[in-house]
Amino acid sequence: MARLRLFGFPGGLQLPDWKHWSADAPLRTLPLPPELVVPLDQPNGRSRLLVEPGDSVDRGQPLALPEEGWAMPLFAPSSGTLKAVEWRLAAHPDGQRLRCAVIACDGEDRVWPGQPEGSDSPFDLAPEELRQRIRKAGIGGLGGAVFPTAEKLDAAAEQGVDTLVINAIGCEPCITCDDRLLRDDPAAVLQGAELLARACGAERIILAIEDDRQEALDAVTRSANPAVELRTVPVRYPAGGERQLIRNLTGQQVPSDGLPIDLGLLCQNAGTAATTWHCMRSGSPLLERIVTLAGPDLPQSGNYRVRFGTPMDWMLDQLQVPWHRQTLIQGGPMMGTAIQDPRYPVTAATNCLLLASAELLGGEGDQRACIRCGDCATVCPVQLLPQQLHWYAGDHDHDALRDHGLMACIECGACAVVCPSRIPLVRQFRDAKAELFAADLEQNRARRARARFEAREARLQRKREQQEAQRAAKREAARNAPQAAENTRQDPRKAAIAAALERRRRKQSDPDASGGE
Amino acid sequence: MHRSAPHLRPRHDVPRLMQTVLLALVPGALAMIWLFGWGVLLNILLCAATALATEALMLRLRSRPVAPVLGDHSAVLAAVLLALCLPPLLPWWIPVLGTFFAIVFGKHVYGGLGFNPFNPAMLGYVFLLVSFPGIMVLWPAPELGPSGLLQTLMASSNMARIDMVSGATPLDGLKTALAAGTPIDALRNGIGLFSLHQDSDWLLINGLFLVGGLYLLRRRLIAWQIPLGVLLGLTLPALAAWIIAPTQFADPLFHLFAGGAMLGAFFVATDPVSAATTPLGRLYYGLGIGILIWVIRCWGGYPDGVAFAVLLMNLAAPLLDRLCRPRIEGQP
Repeated sequence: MARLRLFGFPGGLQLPDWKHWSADAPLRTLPLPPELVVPLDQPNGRSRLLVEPGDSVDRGQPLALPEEGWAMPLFAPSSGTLKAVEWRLAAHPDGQRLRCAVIACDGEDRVWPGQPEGSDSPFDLAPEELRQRIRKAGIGGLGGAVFPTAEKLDAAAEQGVDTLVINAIGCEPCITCDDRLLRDDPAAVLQGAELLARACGAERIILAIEDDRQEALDAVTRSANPAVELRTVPVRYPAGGERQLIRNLTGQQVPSDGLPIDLGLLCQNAGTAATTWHCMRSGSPLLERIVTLAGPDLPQSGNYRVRFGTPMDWMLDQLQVPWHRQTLIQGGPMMGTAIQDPRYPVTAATNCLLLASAELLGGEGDQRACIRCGDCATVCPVQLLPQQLHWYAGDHDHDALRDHGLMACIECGACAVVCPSRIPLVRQFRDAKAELFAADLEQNRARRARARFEAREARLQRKREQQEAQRAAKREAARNAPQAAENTRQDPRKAAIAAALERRRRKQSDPDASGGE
Repeated sequence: MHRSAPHLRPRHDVPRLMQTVLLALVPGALAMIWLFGWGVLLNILLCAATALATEALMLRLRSRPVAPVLGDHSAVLAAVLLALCLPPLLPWWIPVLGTFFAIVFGKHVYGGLGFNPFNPAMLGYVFLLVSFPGIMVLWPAPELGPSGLLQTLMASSNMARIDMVSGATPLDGLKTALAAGTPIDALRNGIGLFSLHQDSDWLLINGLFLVGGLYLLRRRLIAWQIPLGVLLGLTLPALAAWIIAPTQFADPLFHLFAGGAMLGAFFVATDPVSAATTPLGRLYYGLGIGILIWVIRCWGGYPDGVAFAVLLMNLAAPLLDRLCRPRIEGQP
């Protein structure tokens, strides 16, 4: 493995590692819960339910179809009966509620008879066929954002990409699901990577890992796959961010308002690659993922294969984790979401469940005024000036916020973690972004309303002028009535011609009367 | 209550930052006490006490919580920086008045820490310098013993007007000599490279402030661009002038280790609130201060120019930040 040159990325910082909590236990499988909860509204879109409460469902049976946005088809994670559709608090910072389908499992885990056949040699499938199967299997990015994989592949195939980057960098503390996957199932990642490359037409495959994950590196090297280039990057948060990784590997910057495919690159998470491989082989849709359970001094810490829909509280109880009174975070300590309702289920976005105490994360402390020390700007991987954005966000100065690149903020949290004044910068920037969105909407609405108003005014004006002209014509006609009547009596056609000539004469002599046409 | 990302909290905070800066001042301050007597310590104590009292009073008047802000040590730091600029034998009310002015008009009228456009300590010092020019530039060196303490206390309580004999700093000496038409080489009776220093007092003080400053740099508590800028801004024109006219201009090493150069470069100019905040802006900000120090030392009416240079560049900081924004990743 040749050590190729890296280009680095701006900003970034060293965070506590905390990976040893969960990295060393081998991958385990969590049993099926008695009840599965499937959120029907996904982060990127909504979907329409295909079955009614009371219906029995089988494992892999389609449950809902995408209705709007970038939603993916949803499947029953196991067999049983659809009990109800309920509202549950989402794992989302806004604390919104989502519609969830609740399935009472029968424990048989019966496979749906309609499930498509798997393929023993998925490499024989045509790229279009592969993308179609990936779409139908409901595969989404398992790095946390859960963007439909097929959509990315379609766009990449259409625009043409030469390189597929498989991202196995868990740059946040605690999260080891990709590390563990590489250690325990490296072949699936590598084969899946090749499959994804085939589906999007990429010729080169790069697998990126942090240079301190020695066991994962060894495992990948052992299952030697010449088609996949292995690249290691130094441990520095946020090295695993898509844009930061591309900058590091290629030296190129993904445009703020663009995507990696604009540079001929496609990024996929290592878990997504492995899942693609397994799903294409078995014909099963995406029904489970690897979840890191992490907590300091938590012997149960480790990685688990968990069926989607498994309620978090059930999972923790099943593993006998004393989770009450702890903060429960989905994702890592930097970008994760605090779980407010522990009955919320594991979904494709649940890469990690972190149990943390205030002592571990650091106390809230007093928030103070910004002293413009600039530590935030030093660590910002986008080269923003958070200290200035903070100032402008407080002033609601939308022009300055846009000008200083607020919309390019990736909300990685580096600025907030180094702020000696303990200012919740990310929260403030998220709010400011929402404010800018709202202002844009409002501006568009105002523009449309103004256009409507102006069109209406012009129409009314035209109408008034027309009426005025008609009235004037009538008056004129009344004045000329006796003569006209005579003409009419003589010859109606001649009279019509005479009237037309008269109108024309009048129009030419008095240009004001011609308005309104 | 729900917590939003990032859930990890910062490990350091403003009070600890200020404490560390205060700690880094200790070697230089001790040297000043040793060389200039109890007056320096008395100034520090008077200024710090006044700063705390004024800060508490202003917070009360502005209906703000007193305890958390007093605990951030920023008022004490400003007071100590001001005290270290003051000559040792002063009536007690001069440090008190200067500190009061610094805290009220340098800080709280703008909204307190974080909102002040000017460096409060330098504002207080300049206020004293322009109001009481006579006593503010004399640096007598009384003994450290009991008689020195007595002398200091008597000066402080206005009981006796001290006969100030040995009052000239190297910068004063240079200015006087040049005004009298003496060629600079006549003053070269110091040691080696530092031959222009009449005695090693200010050399030692500046050296120790340099050590403290390097410690802060190492701890990454101050932005390196600012001291680098100040020292370069002072060195480059001094070097050029010295090469062209060595009999009329002091060498750059003299400038770097005279007066408030090191204290200014590492402790005063680096006050983040009133400095530029963009990386490149900070370099220009420092360069501006360095150049202004040299200009004021060479042609100004006062022997040293650190305070004026800092205040003038405070004015320019917002403009520098506007002009020196880094290029955002992924944007042209």
